[in-house]
Amino acid sequence: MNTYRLWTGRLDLIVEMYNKIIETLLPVEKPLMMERIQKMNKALQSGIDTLKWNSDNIDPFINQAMGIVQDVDELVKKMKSNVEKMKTEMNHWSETPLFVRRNKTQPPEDVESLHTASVVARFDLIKSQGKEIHKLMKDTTDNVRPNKQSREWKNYVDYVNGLVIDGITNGIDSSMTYLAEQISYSYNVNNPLLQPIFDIKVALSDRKVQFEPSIGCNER
Amino acid sequence: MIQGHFISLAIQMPQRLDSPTGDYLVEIRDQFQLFGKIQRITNNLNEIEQRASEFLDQYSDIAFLWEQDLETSF
Repeated sequence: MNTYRLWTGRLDLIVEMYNKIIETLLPVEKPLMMERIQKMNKALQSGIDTLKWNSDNIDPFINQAMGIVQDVDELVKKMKSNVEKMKTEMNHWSETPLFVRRNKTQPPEDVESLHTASVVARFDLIKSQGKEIHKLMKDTTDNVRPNKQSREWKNYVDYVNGLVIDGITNGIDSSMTYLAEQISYSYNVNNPLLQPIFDIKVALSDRKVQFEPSIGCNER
Repeated sequence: MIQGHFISLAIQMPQRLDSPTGDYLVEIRDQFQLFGKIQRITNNLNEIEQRASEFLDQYSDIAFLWEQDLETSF
């Protein structure tokens, strides 16, 4: 009786892993796993067609099927986890905008120099996150061992490449959204405690009233 | 300048994933999502410019004080 319980428990585990693999593979991932899926199907076929509870070779069948299905399960998890890690790296790009409004008003040239310095530091960080994304992609490549010239692999690289483009776009978008808000007249009117980003002067020069530094409508 | 820095995010990856060279600048410049944001920033700048212009207009009634030569006027 215990033997049967053990078998059904392990078979349930195999079925659960198998179904999860099939259900969660994306259309762009499945072709890369096709040979492995066929190998799983082949290993499981005798359990569907020929084996009975009183057959002699149940243990070897379960051991072999478990090993094959576990390998594919781990590989699929690795691929998906690498993509999730890439997304986590890229999420940092949109969490903090590239332009940050300071708590005190500064001369325009200081706003520019502080912004430039902070952007240089952020770009260094983004470069290192970019390297990490390449490492994760290499890890997937090393584990999947694809034919790099195959259409299936090129489609997968296009898919991950698209995620990177989305990550960069979202990073730029969030910085632009922040900047647009910070320079919005209504936003500043509704937040009177905010200090101006920088001061400009109104000065009389050559019989003309001008803003210094100049803005579009400078002269009067 | 600041917007230029934002777009430079597209050239920070060491290389493309699908090619040993190049960056993502071409794709990013085509992102429709960003066109709207650039327009929003431009609109907000235009509004600031318009408000600043209205501020200067407050003084147009007394502009003769600095526009006309004192010696010539009197």
